[in-house]
Amino acid sequence: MPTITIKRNGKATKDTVGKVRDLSKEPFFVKKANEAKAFLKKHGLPATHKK
Amino acid sequence: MSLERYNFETERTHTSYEFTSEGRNGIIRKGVNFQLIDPKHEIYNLAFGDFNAQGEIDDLSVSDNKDRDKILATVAATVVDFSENHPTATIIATGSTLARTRLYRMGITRNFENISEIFDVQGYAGGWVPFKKGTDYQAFSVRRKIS
Repeated sequence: MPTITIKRNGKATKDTVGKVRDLSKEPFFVKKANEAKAFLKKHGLPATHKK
Repeated sequence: MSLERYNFETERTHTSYEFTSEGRNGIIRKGVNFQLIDPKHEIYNLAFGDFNAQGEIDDLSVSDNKDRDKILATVAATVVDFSENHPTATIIATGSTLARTRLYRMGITRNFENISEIFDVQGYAGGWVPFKKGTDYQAFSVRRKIS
């Protein structure tokens, strides 16, 4: 996959798109997501963010 | 105000990020992930940690590279990048330890003037409330303001 430089306000930064693998299946992040789900289930959604 | 930070790398969906911390204890690869946990309300969980020698990530290691502020500024930059690509998403962050939660609070507090220009910020302290400096929260939520 080619690397694409991110542009902000028309100016290129050194941040890049394209080199990183999908981390969503990493056990650590899955665990953290499940903890966050449990937190929201117990405490509810942020008030101003409810749609 | 532009804070010193590391450059990050991401992928096409702008949900996974990596960057490298460089300090007195060497080079430490960091991973940041925005995980969709509530599709209906478009809520993503923010988590980040260090890659260990096995290539796995945890957030309990103390790398002690003396670059905490630079790391926080980099994570904040990933939040901005993520929200530019997911403008209606809500991001929540809960610390794995009290120390990590304090770290989040410190990062928001130090940059609150800049953050609050772009985001609505809330904290959870017995209920979700607008973020105020000097208050302890169990979790944080940010969402890009509608322009």
